Amino acid sequence: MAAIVNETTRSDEELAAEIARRDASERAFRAARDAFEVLYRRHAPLLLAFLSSRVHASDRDDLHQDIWQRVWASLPAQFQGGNFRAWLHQIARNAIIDLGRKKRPAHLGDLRTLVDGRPDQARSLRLEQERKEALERCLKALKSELAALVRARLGGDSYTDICGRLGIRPEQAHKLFHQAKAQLKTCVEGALG
Amino acid sequence: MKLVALEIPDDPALLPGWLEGHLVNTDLAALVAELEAVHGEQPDNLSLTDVLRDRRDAVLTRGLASLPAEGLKSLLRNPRLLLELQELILTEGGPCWLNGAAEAAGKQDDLERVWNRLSDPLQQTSRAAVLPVAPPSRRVVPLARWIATFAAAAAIVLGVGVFLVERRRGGDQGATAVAASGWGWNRPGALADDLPPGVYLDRLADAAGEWFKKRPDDPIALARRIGEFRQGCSVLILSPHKPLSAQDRAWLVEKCRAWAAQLDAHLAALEGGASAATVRDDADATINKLIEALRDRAKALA
Repeated sequence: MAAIVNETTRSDEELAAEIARRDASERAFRAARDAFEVLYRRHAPLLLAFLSSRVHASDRDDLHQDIWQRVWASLPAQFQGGNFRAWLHQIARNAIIDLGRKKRPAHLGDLRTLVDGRPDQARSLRLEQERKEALERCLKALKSELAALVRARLGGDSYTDICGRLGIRPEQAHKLFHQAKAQLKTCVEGALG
Repeated sequence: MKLVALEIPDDPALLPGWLEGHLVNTDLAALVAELEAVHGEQPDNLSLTDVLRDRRDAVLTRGLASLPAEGLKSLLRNPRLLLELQELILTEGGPCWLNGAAEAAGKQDDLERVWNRLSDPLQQTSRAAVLPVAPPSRRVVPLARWIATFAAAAAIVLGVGVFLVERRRGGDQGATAVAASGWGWNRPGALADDLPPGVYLDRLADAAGEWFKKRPDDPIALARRIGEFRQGCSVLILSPHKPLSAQDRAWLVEKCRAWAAQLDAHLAALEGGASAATVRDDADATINKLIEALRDRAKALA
C-alpha cells in the first residue's frame, strides 16, 4: 500500500493508459487495479472537498463512490488521453447533475442552473441557506459597532487597519470581536435549534 | 454549531493558509454562506479572473500566499469566487493543493471508507469491465479500529518526541518548534513569542478553537482528533511562553495539565465503548471551557 500511495513517478495519463489495458491479461488487470488506486489516492482528496461544498453530507459518500465507479467503467472507452483531471471533473459534474435530477426532478430552479451549466454554485448556496439567513438576522441584532468590526475582520482587514479606522485600541478591538463572536454563536445556535 | 468564518485568524500572515485549508476541506459551503451573510452576494461584482489577474498560475502552483492582500480580501468579500477557485484547483491545482487536500482528508475517514467500498469488489473481480456496486455505508473492521486507536496514541508520543527534539536542536526557538500535527497548538506559529500577554492567550484560545473545524462521527477519527489535541497540550506544557510572566506561565501549565487529563479521560471513555457522539460532546465541553479560561485570563491581562 505504501508503495502505491507514495507513487509519484507515473503521470495521470500513464496510469489511465494502464487501466485502459486491463483486459489484456490477468497480470494487466492487476496492474490496472493498482493504477486505479494511485489515481484515487492522488485525486480523491480534492474531489471530496469539491463534492462537499456541492452536495449534502448524506449524499456525499455514495456520490463519491459513484464517480469513481464511472471512472473505472468508462475510462477504457471514453478517456481519449489529455487532461485526466479535467475528465474526472466532467464526470463529477455530470454525477452532481444526475443527483440533482433524482432529488428534485421538477424543480425549475434546478433546471435553470442545469442548462446554463453552472449547477454547482446554486447547490452549494442552498446547502447552507439556513445558516446564512440565521447569521444575517443575528448580525442585524448586533450593536452597530460590533457588526462593523465583524464585517471588517471577515473582509480580511487587520486589527491595525480596523483600530486606525474606528479609533480604538487593539486590546479593545480583540475584546469586542470576541464578544461579537460569542453573541453571534449564541444567536445562531438559538435560531437553528 | 460552529461559525466557520468567525475563526478567521488574527494574524494576516495566517490568512492564506486558513483559506487554503477551507478550499481543500469539507466545510467550504458553510464558509461561503457565512461570508455572504456578512458581505452580501457578490458586492463587488468581480470575476475570479479579476481577482487572480497575473497571479493565476502562481496561485495554482504555490497557493494563496502568492496573492496580494487585496486579492485575499476580494475573495472574502465575494465568497462565491471561492467556489470557483475550488473548482479551478480541482482541475489545475499543483502539488501543494493536492498535498493540502490529502493532509486534510487524512484526518477524516471519508476517503478510506469510500476506497474500501470500491476496492473490495475489485479484489474479488477478475477482468470485469464494470465495477460491482458494494453495499453502502459499510463499517470499518475491528482490526482497523485497533490500528487507528494505536495510531492516535502513537501520534501523541511521536509528536511530543518531535517537538522535544526540535526544542533541543533549536535552543531558544522552542516556542516556535513544530510538532507532527499541523493544527491548533501544534500549528507552526501558534505560539508566537512576540505578542503582548493578553493577545498571546487570545491566540491560544483561537488555536484551540480549531478543534471545532472537524466534527468526526466515527470513533476512530474522533480518537485521532482527541489525540492530536492532547498532543497540543503537551506542546503547551513544555513551551517557554516567553510573552507571559512567571505567574501566568505557571497558571497556564497547571491548566494544561488539567485539560490534558480530561482529554485522556475522554479517549479512555471512547476506547471503553462510549459512543462517539457522547465523547465528542464531552470533549467539546472541555475545550469550550479551556477556551473560556484562556479568554478570561487574556481579558484580565489586557
